Order: sequence, then C-alpha cells, then structure tokens
Amino acid sequence: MTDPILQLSDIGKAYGPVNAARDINLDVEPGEFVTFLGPSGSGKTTTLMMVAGFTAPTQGNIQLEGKPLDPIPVWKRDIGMVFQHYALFPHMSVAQNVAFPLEMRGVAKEDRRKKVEEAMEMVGLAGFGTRLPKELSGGQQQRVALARAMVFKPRLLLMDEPLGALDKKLREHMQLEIMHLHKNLGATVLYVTHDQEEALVMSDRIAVFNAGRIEQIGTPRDLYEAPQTKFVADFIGETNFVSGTVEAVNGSVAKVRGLDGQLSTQLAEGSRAVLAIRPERLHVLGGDASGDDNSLTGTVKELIYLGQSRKAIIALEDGTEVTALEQAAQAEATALEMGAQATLGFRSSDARILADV
Amino acid sequence: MFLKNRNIWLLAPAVLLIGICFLFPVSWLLQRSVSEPVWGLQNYITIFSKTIYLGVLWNTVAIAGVTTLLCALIGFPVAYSMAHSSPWIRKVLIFSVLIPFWTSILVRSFAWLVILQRGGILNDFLAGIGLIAEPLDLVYNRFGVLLGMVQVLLPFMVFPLFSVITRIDGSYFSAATNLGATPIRAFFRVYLPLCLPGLATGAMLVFIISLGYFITPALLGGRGDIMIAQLIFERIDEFGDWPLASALAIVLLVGTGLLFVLVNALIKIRGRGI
Repeated sequence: MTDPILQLSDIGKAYGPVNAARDINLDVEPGEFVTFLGPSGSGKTTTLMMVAGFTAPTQGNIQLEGKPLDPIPVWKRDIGMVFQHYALFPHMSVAQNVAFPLEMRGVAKEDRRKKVEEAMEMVGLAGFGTRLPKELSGGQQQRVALARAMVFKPRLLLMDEPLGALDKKLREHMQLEIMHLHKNLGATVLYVTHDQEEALVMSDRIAVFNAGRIEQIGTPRDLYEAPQTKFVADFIGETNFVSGTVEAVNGSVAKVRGLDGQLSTQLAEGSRAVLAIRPERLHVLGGDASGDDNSLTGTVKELIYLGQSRKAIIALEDGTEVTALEQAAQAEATALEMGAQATLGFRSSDARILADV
Repeated sequence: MFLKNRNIWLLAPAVLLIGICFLFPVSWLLQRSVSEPVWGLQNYITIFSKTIYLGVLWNTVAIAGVTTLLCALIGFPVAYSMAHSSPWIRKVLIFSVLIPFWTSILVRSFAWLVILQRGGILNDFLAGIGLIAEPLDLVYNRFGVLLGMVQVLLPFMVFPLFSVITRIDGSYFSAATNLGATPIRAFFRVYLPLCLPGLATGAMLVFIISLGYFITPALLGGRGDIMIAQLIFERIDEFGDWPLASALAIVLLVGTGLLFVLVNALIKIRGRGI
C-alpha cells in the first residue's frame, strides 16, 4: 500500500454550538476516486470545502502529500475544483476560462495555448475556445469546468455535485465520461453527491455522511452488501427492515424475531435492532428457494409489474411491509395473488442485524 | 399587436407632459440661441472661443468627473457591504444611504455651510482642541463643492451597483482563488468586471446629474468653481442675455445626450461579453 496522498485526521467544523462536521477521518490513496455521499446538511460539502480551503476546520488537521494543508491559503493549494454550477467566468471566453489557472501560475503564453488546446481536446470541446460560456449547453459547460479544473495538473480534484444541474440521461453519460477521464489521467478525485446511484457507479470508495459524521467508508459493494448502520442500509439502495430485539448472539450471527442474520458490529442481547434484507434477496417460496434458512409469512398487499422484474409488497402479521423483487422469469414461476398468504425465504448470510437507532 | 396599439394611448399623459414641459421650451431655447441678435451660430462661437466660457465648461466636466470618481470609490464598498450583510444590517445601510433624499437639497447645502465655514462648527472645534491656529478654508472652494455633491449623489451610485452585486454568485470569486488567483487578482480579473454594468449605470447617472448641478456649487463653491448651470443663471439673471444662456443650455443638453448614447453603446459592446 502506498502512502495516502490526502489524510483527514479528526477534522471537524463547528459554527457556534452546531457541528457541521465532526470526527472526520479519511485516508485517500493516490489515483483513488472517493465519493462523499449523504443527504443535504450531512457535512459532506463542508468537508470538501475544508479540503479546498474555503472553510477552516475548527478541529483536527488535513495533510496533502504528507504536509499540513491548513496554513496554505486557497490559491496556493494546487487543488482543482468543479463547482456545483460550474462558476465559469461569464465575461471570459471558454479558452480564457481554461487558461485562467495557467495565467495565474505565470505560464508563458505559447505554452498556455498548447495546454488549453490539449485540455479542450481531452473533454471533447476542441474548437469551442472562442465561445462564451453562456453560448454552451449545460453538458458542455460542465466539460469546460472540468477542463479548467484539470488543465494545471492539480494534486487533487474536487467535485461538488457537478452533475446536479443536468438531466438524467446526460448525467449518466457524464458519469461515464468523468470515470474515463479519471482512469486515463490517474487523478485523485473527491466527489460530493447526494445521489447514491451515482456514487455506486463512479466510486472506488464511498464515505457515507450523516449528521456531520462519516457513518461508513467502503467500496460500493461493501456498503451495499454489508452496511454497518441502519442509516447506510436505508440510504444506499432499497432495504427491508424487520425490527425487534437481539436474541441468541453467537459469534457474528444472531437472531431478531427468530430470524437469523449477520452481526456487523457487536450488539448486546436484548438491545433494539433491525434485521435488514435487500428486496432482491427475498425469495417467494414455491420458486427457487434453495439454501434459504429463514422464512417470513404475510399477506400480499401489492404486486407491481416492472417489465424485467416484479415487485411484491407483503404485509407481515405485525403490519411491517416488506418488498420482494424477483426477475421476470422467476416471478412467472411463483404465482402470487393479491390478498393471499405468501411465504418468503432468505439466506441468513444475506441478512444484516443492525442497531436500531 | 392589436392590444399594443390600443394601449399606446396610456402614454398620452406622459407624452403631453414632455411635449409641453420639455420639447416646447427646448425648441424655444434652440431657436433663440441661433436667431438673436441675428440668425447664425455666433452664440455658440462665443462659448467655444472665449476662455471664460471654456473654463466653465471644463469646470463642469471636471467637477462632474471627480464627483463620479469619488462616488464610485466611496460607493463600491458601501454597495458591496450592503449586498453581503445580514438582512437587518442591509436595511440599516439602505436606510442610511437614502436619508439624504429626505431633506431638501437647499437645507443640506446650508447645513454644510454652517459646518464648514470659517466660523463654523468644524473650524471652531478644531481650533478649540488646539489642532489648528487659523481656520481652514473648507467651503467656497472645490473641496466644498465636491463634498456637497458627493453626499447628494452617492445613492445614485450605490443602488445600481448594489443591484448588480447582489446578483453576482459568490462562487465566481471562490473559483478564481481556487484556480490560483490571490484575492486581489481575483477581484480585478473576475469580480470587478462582473460589477461593471452596475458601475457604468451608476457613473452615468452621477455624471449626468452632476453636469447640470446648480444649488450645491452655487452655495458651496467659490468664483473658480462656477459650473454651466450657474453660468446660465447668471447670464439671464444679471444680464438678461437670453440668447447666450439658451446656447449654453443647448450645449449642456447635447453634451449630456451624446454622453448617454456613448456610454450605452459601450455597455452594449461589453454586454455581449457578459
């Protein structure tokens, strides 16, 4: 493992008695794409702003390439940033915008032009240099912002919800394009979004923020398959929760309401907990349920046809509604009827037992 | 289109007012300026050939220019603070900038006299604490004129600037510093250019109003600070020289009009860049 390029150690930001962010610890590897994911007000943008230098942390310290970042002012940090609404300078042409960071660094004119051309080519906008930002579409402006943030080879690239203003289709296209740029250039990226799907698609690792703290850091797969808190399980993807108390703890397995699941963190017997299970891991019994060692019964409340899959919403005896998602072929084999009884099965290795807060 | 044509009658009162109170007197002035004592441009030739008149024209432009510059220098920080403060402080600032409009310009100019003259409050105070031995000449000179005019005209600079500055997204400045600009460079390369439309509007208002200013320079200025409006008044009041006064008025009007057109054209050219 190489030395981390960026280290956040216990950083936090307090506005009077309010903690916008606290106890943030994160090491970022060179070339890594790390996403800060969380609802608005969760501290993810505050943390990004502390790295950029727009906000001074009130606790902890930040190190970039092994040197403390805090005494360095914004304009000397050599960190590129793509702003939420791009912040392209409206009175300068696209080329002038991209040349701006080079101009500030005293790069000679000839060299500047060459680098601007390369950067424009890189984002597929060669020949657009003389236009004004407002003459470009949203997607094109986004690319200019990217070119401008990367043209001076920053040590770190920050992106603050850069795709938020684009429509869905363009957003998905730009996600792939940013990923390719990241791979090709080997840049280290910190990316802020509240869109969990975007985070899953793009990131090497995701830090899930909630109420000013990082709830969990991990690869997209870690977070989806092995959430450690109820918040993470709920925020990323869709999850069914069955709540109860922890029973029969045995190493890393335990029971909640008689159902077996994996313990992510140590929970004492008798404490309040939820059993979390993804809809696609719930099988309607009667179909292929091999390996299932847990079962739930309830009444079919809703059957939703989704083309490639079918969603069944089933109310358990205590009223808890759980959703089972089955692929179309599987769904055909398990005929369900509205109002009828249904039995659902799942593997205990697919279920997580999490503290209920 | 049909509706538009019908609604044009709504403009009738304004058109009538401008016709009677502006166009008619102006044409009358224009006619007198070229027809008396005989038909010809002799009045204009007099204005543009005699040192005394040229001096007044220069005074007018210089006083208006310096007033505009001072208003911009003082007004920019005020407008900036107004745009970047809490709603409560913003209200207080707007209120303070507007206060001068609540008192008559005559009263204000006399108030300056009371404060600034040789036996006035300020000189008495400074002499009282032993800071000066002889009273300072603070009024009946260029200083007094500029002070009075800047005070009166400042709001015309502040409000156009304020309305532009409030609409400038803070992220432009942040982006500039993030890209390596020191705050000073970010201000001059990014922030100030974005303020230019407001600055241009404010400057034009202040300059044009200054050009025709009368009461303040008349009360607070000395012999060397006579502006064109005072000259017009003098020609009529003391000499009954209507033809020359008319020509002066036309010069002022045409000069102001030309300036307006010029600045508008400049803003339009720049505006394509903004």
